[in-house]
Amino acid sequence: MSVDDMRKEGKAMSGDSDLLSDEARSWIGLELEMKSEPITRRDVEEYLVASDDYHPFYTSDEAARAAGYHDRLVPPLLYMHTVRPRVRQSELTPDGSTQDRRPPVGNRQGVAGELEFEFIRPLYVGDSLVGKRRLDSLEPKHGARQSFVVCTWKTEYFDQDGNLVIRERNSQILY
Amino acid sequence: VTSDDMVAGMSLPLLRKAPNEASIFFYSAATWNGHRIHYDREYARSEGHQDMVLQGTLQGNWLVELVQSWLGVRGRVIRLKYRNVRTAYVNQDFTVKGTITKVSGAPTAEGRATAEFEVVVEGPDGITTRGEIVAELL
Repeated sequence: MSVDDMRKEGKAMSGDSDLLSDEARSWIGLELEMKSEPITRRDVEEYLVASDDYHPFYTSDEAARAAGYHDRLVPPLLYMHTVRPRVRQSELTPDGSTQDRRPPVGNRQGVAGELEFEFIRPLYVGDSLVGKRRLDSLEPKHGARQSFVVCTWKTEYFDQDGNLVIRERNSQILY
Repeated sequence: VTSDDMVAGMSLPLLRKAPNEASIFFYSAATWNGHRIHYDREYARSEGHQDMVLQGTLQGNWLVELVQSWLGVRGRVIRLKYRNVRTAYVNQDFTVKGTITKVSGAPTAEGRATAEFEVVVEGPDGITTRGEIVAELL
């Protein structure tokens, strides 16, 4: 079943869900902090090759300055990877992923849901980020084939001067 | 492109993508993504996939690329919302499509007009990613 199918089928459940234990509920409000190193020109070059997207804003100081920016811009989605944890291979899960912070719901399986971003100001080479993430809600849903819980995290990213630069909301569908 | 050219209902030029093994390798490497379904074909099949899986965030990037490349230097993407709705695989052909849904003279905090877009990534079996974008016009 696709995420779309689950969303179409999903209806808010009344009362407690078997999926949503008190232990899982205790995660609501959990706060995590993530930090990046300063973004480098090489980070940007690697991301441009990987995404095969060479917009003039990302490659030309002149083009960016002509549009009113003070330097070339960092591609907007690159920031997500600057805060991805670098863990030892021995700490990876068998599928090669880093351990996901995920509340204990159901069989502890899940798929990614919706992602939402607000880019308050563009990032530049040299910027570094501190992300403050909060588990905002756990919402039980009841589908025709399967019950699940929509877990929503909200994160605010601040630059090296403490200014808010990005807001992010992402959901996980847990079952 | 100027704001005069932007009318709700207008379609953006299509962006075509054909990611191969190198594409998904470089994207996993640049984004420090060790998930084996993106580079280990045998493992991906053991999880029930038909082939190596294209990264969801790469498709999110395509949505931004579609709108930002059309805007050129006349605007900047300031909001993005998307979800991956169907698994996408390596060596498939994809088309990224977008439509203007609203052009607003109501200024942002910086006093700029905005344009809104509905965007999708479509693969051989249907839509794999759906999203919405807001751009500020410079």
